[in-house]
Amino acid sequence: MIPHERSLVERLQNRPFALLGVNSDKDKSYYQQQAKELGVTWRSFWNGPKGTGGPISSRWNVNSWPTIYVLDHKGVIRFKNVRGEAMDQAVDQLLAEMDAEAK
Amino acid sequence: MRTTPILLASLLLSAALSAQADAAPTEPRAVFDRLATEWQAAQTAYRTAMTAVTESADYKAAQAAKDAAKTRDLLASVRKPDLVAYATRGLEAARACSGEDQMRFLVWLAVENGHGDSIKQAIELVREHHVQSPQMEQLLENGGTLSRAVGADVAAALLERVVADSPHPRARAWAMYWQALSIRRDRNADAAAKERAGKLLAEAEQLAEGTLLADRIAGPRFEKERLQIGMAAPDIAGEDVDGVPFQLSDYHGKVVVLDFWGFW
Repeated sequence: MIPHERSLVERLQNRPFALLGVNSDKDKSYYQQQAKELGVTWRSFWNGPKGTGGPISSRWNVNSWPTIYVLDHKGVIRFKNVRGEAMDQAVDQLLAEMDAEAK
Repeated sequence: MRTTPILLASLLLSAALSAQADAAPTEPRAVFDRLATEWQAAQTAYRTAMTAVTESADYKAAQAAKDAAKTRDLLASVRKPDLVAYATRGLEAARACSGEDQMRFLVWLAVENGHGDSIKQAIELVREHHVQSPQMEQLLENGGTLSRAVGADVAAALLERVVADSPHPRARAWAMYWQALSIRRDRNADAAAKERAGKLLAEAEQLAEGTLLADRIAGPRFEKERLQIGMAAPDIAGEDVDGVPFQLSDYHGKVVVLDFWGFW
């Protein structure tokens, strides 16, 4: 999961795209250590010391991990739970839509 | 001289006091803090040692050679923190005190240190003495594993007592929430039971208004009404892992992948 996301972020670093996490590790120091080791460069909300029982995931009714939402540039939910290739395709489609709109 | 015994006594007393500062604490909160700190440190040390192993040349070589026995041995060379020892100490310390001090140990045992036998004894003490404790909320926040740890009957009996006797609305709310969930998980639950589960959740949501539990209960409804494809994503305001506040809407104008994840 992480290597794939890292390559997505790298590929699109000059595009209007952001990967945002809602990180649900209870222990922030563990997060910092792992993030450094595995090269996690993207930003995450921290879901708080209750981990997966934290406030953001509770409100968003997240019961399985990872849960993924893809939003377009207007902030509209366009895809849910796309992984791997499907995630890349979803993002590329939304970026293309954005380009077409700008023309 | 008449003052000598007094002087002597005060010297002895101050010597005793300074010795006590170095010895193990006896005041319940100090005992608790020490135990909790030691436990935390043991876990951190364990994780650090595990990372050191997985980063070592030996481990990487064994992994590259697909030498499963060797990687297993290397990982096994790191000693796990002795859960039973900590749990035993915690339980002893709990039995040595009473009231909210005791409940603090019991909650810690139940939440942090889920070792089978100690958690059963801890819950037994909770049922006996602490049903009305304000700390019940903390215990039940983590109630999801309770029935697995102490058995469904014991867990159900505790929840029932809390609903009936706790003066703390949020503790009652959590108890009702777990009651409702256990009904929903029961494949033999009939229509009446399911209706009861719905009522419990509705009441729990009200009791827990403004808390995380209320959000959790409202979650499925929120997802249905606000999180469908084609809907504007609700904003999220929070802090990043470095403590810097930011919002999802800061990223308006960009395509965003929002990923709920963790390393665990």
